[in-house]
Amino acid sequence: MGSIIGISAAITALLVILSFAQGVQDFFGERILMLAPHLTLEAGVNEEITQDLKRTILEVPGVKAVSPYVQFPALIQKGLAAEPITVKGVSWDSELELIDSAEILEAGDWRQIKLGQGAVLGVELARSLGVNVGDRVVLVSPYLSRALLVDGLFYTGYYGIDGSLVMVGLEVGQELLGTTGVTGYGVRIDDYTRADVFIGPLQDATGLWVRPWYEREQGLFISMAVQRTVLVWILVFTLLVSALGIMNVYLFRAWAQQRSVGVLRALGASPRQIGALFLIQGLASGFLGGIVGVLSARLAVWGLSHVTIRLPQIFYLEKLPIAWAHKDVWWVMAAAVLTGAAAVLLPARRMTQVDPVEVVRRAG
Amino acid sequence: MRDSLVTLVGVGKLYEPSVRVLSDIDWSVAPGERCVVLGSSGSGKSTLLSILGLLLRPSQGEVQVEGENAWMWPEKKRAAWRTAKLGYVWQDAGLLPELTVLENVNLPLHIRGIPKKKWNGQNLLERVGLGRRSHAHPSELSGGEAQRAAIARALAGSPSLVIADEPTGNLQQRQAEDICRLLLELQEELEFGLVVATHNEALIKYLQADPYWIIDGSLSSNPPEEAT
Repeated sequence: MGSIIGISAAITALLVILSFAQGVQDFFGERILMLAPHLTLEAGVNEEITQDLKRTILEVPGVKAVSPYVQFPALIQKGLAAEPITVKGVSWDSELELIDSAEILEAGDWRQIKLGQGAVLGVELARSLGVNVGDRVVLVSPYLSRALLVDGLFYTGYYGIDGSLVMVGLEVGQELLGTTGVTGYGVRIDDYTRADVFIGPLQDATGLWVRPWYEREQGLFISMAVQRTVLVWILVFTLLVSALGIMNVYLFRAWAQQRSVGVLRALGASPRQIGALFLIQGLASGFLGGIVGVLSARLAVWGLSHVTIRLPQIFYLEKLPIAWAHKDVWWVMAAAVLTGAAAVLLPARRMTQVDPVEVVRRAG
Repeated sequence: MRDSLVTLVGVGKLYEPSVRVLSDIDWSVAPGERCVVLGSSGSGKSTLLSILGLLLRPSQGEVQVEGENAWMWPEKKRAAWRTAKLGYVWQDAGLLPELTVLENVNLPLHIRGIPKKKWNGQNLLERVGLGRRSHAHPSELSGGEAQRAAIARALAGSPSLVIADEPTGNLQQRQAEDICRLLLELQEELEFGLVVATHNEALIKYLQADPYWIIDGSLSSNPPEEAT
């Protein structure tokens, strides 16, 4: 019983942490993808594309939509306040085929926005400048500055975007950048998790630099992956500690049951059968501990996903970002069973070495 | 030789570093034979019985079974022979405390992989007078009852040879006599070979068995006074 509890506790902790890691990753992925295309195609840093490649890109199998854009750093001013921003000039009709238009617009009217004469700001940027829909702001690029009306505010829930991105019509963007070309194309595919599969074909078709969505936020995803790996290792060591505890329990049990094992041996049980008895107990402990651990973790994840929390505004979180790590359940279960088996290997080996003669001699 | 169950040829046993317990023993146990091995504590009775039961390898000589030196067999074959042909009774019964009396009696059959429907534990328990105690645990039995259960377990696999090492060592004289009578009855009924080791010479008459004495590591059919 103790061994089952030991394993289940470690498994619960492992799965809850993995679910947190999964939840955080999903959270940021969803937020980023609200405004970011699944893949971007660019000529290079500070380089523009003058050729219309829309048709070429659409011919690549699996590509659902394409939208050209210009993107560059700039400043936004409102009175005395100024903020460094990224300006993205888009062709709204095609851009809305890439993004989730219904979800992101916090204030404003799409009909007005689609005219492409105004600016759409992230809510955090608007808050820091103190502007709202209908207010006038000035965008300052290295080439010129231009006053624009705020046509809308968007909200993705990812501070990195909501606090620094300004979207304008493609022509306004080109004017600010002093170009007639574009800096890149955004591409939408069926399943964003398969974005990496499209890198090669798109690169071959266009000769452009193709980046999947997650690469634009590489730092964020790398740090999440590192944290996840570190946590998994910490918990694997926890599992190892459980295994050592279980091994001690079984070593004691083996010592206490030497007499019984000797009797079994004298009655004809082979060392292999005796070892198998212990091994089966270990495997059963691991399996049951794993099952209990998975069920407890599922319950804990369900409970935690309903907990309302208060975190600094930067996180935009009202609920803990936790998503059941169902893909990890199988290897975690396998780890539990292996832990149980590994824990009883030494005791099982000792039991196979019990000399049945000792039983007879002690009795004689 | 082929008529005997087990034959010892020139068997000796030396325990490390240099304690000689048995030397040059020639002996055989035939099917249906009853023998009592007598000797003081530490004389080598248990060692002799362990060698006879293929549990302990002799330092010298051969243990012949079915005309072959059993210690030339692989361990698996020896274990299989022990399970199929031998029944053991020990001084302290050796019942597993976690199991019920019935489970203990059926244990050798379980180890042999015999199908459950062929397990005869309950019949044997009834035969030794414990039919109503089959679901009790060993801790609930008296010393005499535990020994009866151990005898039932020894007979569970219908063995050709039963080895009983001081089966009455922990019992009162009255209980010891009862156990010896039971062993005798069962042996006459089932005709297995029976070898009993004891230091209690008074039990010979209850077992009606051929007595052998271990004297200075040698086996003799004569009592110590005559042997010396």
